[in-house]
Amino acid sequence: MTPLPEAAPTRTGISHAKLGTWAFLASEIMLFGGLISAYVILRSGSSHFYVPPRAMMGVPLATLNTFILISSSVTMVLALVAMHEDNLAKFKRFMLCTIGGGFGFLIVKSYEYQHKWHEGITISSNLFGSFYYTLTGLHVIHVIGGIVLMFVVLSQGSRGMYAKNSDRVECAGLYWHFVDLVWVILFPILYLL
Amino acid sequence: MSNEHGHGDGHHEPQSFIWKYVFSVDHKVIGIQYMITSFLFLLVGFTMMLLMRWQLAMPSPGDDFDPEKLGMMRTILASVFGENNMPYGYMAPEFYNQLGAMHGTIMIFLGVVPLGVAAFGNYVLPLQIGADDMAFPRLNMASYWTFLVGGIVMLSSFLAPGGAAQSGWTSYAPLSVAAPPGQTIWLIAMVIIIASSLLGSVNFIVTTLNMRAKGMTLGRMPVFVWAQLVTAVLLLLAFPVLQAGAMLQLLDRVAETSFYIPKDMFYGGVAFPRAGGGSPILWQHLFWFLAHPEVYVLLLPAMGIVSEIIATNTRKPLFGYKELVGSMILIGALSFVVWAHHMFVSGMRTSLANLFVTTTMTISVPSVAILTCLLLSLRGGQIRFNTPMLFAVAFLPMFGIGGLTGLPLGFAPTDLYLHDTYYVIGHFHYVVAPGSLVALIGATYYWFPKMFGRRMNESLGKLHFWATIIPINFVFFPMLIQGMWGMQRRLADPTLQWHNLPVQGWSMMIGIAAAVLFLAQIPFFFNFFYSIWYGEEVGENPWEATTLEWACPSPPPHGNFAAPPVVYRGPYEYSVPGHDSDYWPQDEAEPEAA
Amino acid sequence: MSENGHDTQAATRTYLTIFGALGFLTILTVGVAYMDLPSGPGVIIALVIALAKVFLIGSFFMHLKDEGRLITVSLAVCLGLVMILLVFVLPDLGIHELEKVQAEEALKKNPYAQMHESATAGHGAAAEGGH
Repeated sequence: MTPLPEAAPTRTGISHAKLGTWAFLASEIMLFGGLISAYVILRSGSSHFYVPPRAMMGVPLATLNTFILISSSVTMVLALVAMHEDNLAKFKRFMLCTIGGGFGFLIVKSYEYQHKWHEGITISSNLFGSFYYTLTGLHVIHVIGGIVLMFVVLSQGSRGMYAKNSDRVECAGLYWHFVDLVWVILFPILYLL
Repeated sequence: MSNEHGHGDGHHEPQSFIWKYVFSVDHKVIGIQYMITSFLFLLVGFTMMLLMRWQLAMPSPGDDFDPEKLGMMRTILASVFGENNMPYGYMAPEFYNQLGAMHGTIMIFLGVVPLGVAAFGNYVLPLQIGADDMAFPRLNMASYWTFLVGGIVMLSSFLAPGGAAQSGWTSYAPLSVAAPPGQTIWLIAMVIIIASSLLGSVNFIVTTLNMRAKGMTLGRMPVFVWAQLVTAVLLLLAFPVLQAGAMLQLLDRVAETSFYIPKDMFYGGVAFPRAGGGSPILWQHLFWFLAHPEVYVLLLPAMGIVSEIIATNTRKPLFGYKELVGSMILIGALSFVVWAHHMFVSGMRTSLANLFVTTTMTISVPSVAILTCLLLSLRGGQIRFNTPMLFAVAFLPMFGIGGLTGLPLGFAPTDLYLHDTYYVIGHFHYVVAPGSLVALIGATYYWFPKMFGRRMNESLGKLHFWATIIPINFVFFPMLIQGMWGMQRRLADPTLQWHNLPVQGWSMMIGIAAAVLFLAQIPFFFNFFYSIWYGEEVGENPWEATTLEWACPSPPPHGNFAAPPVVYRGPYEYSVPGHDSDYWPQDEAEPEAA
Repeated sequence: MSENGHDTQAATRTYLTIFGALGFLTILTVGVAYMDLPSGPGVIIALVIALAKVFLIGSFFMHLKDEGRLITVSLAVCLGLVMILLVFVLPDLGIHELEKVQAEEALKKNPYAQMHESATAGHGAAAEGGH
């Protein structure tokens, strides 16, 4: 496979891919911002917003998931470092760790969903349940998207496509960190407060 | 996250017809695709409006109604739309609501925005900044096809049991949550359209910031490019909030959540099966957080277009380029803090209403500044009254009426009276139809020579202009009068309410004017398609304009410019003293440098 | 943006430090949550910790500390818009409803108000019956 050409110089000095990714992330901020605002507004305003006791929320598992996502963020950024070092073996190792983190998160999450559903926290049981499944569900969709993206980056990267231009690793990383970031906010507002 | 670079590839000619015209990644082909598609959607939306105006002109059967003696039109309508939708040729209220909701949705999200932003933006913006294509050509193509799918899904909702969405283009909860399945399709279609719009706006922002030609500083960008940039930012940041709101409504409908359903809600006499606790007002906030910036998404490209046409045809620089651009940016910023002026009747507390009254009055300042700049640009110019110029000049008073009639709606006390009347319909249609849409038609005449290398016929164009601008005022001005009398909007049969009767007579006139307006578009469509093949051939700069899109062949080849253009001066250097011609293109080198 | 061996080692060390900090903050926020502070300080501490984590991830992992103003200012604008949405809607739906609930609770505690309330309720019922 031929390597991608070096990023052409641009007026802002930021490559198209990176600027585009940031613009996309800006819209993602508004998307999650809108949803989280709706949650905060109804939670503070609705007279029928019942928050389940913390014991039902499974905080230890959620904490574990936080660690998994943070770790996979670190391995992602280390994969980028490996790409800058032209160390493909290291890059592959760290990318696999990142993907593994994504899968780990999904596995814990699916166990959590099942457990909660059985305990009676369902999407239609009350407002908290609705927000819980909507917010985390959208986040899970982003994690799945991220895993697909990581596979593409892993396969292209390990075939040497990014020898001259590591933009895609960086952009995939930005997206992945954003997914991590959303979780960092969802974790306290859904599980701890 | 397509990382294809305009520079990298795609410069060799695509081979087959399919790849050249259907799945093209060329911004010009995509722009024309968007243009034709949105014209079709505009036509669909217009037809729906004609049906509604037919109903409103003669809404009730009356005492001497005889089902055996229906007129020809009523027989045809009854057989075409079925006895459920139009029994005896009179419109069933449910069908009227469907047409109302779909007219609004189609005109705004599938008609005017794609035409103003996606069609002309796609075609003209890269040319005006001297780029060879968009930053992400494949994303651009994906955006068009996503849009088309969204539009088709939207239209297909008429086939759903119970018909299309019927909760208005605003889809206010909780009625929209309880509505028939058409509403679910509306929401899905909206999510698709929003996705398309996000792809487009990312592309526009990156292209404008990153791909400007050498010398094209921000201060030398044509006003149209600025308008597109601000619009793209509005779309990028406002649309996701509606996306969020639409997702919540979709879940309310399909997953039985209760984000917008209050506790113990009754619907149709029975308890609505939801846990409850949500707030219908929340939907209004999320919706209008998008939909107010959306108003400026409809308007800003039109303002940019009018600036371009006026500068070219007055043969003098625009009055106050910096003020125009500054006002546009200010409008963009302020448009995020005015949304709740659509919600004064929702029972909002007075202190919050006052805040939104203040911001709303503030945003009228930059709008007036833009209008003033454009008006003063006409002063002392050697005006060329060609067809695009007629439309551009007509935009000024039309938008003026639209804007000024908005002021009473921005004040909470007057809004409480006017809110549910035809006054609101008259007001925002003045902004969008005789305002934006007239400017967009002007843009079609203006950039047609660039798109097809031929000019549209001037006589037909002038006929189209006068046959459009006169009836369109007879359509919308009477609505303002009806509204001030208190005539309620959203009613299939206004005569059911006694207080609507004194002004019901105007509806007949509106109906006739709307039909004339429809007929007046025939010369336009004929002219459009005729001129593609048989119009007068023109060179690369038929209007003797200065901006970069006129510095490449008409139509521009794949890759646009033979050599990357270099920009030496601002965008509107007309009638420069000492220069040999009355226009000085942006890319023409200084004499001493040449 | 190619980094030399020495730089990448330094970068790796930074990333691992940040990782440690993030882990510590996560444990801290969970610990504070189990202390069951009153809701005011509890919310504030949790949000401050979350924002600190967001800041660390943003500036180091997403390299925002090395980005130019274009990106950082745009992101600030975005966050500002979310805050506008939140701050402008809260008085309408959030706090508004809350005040209503508080007012109702206050009514229940105040016997005079309760008497007044039952009187008006009775009045309403009478009026309805009258129709």
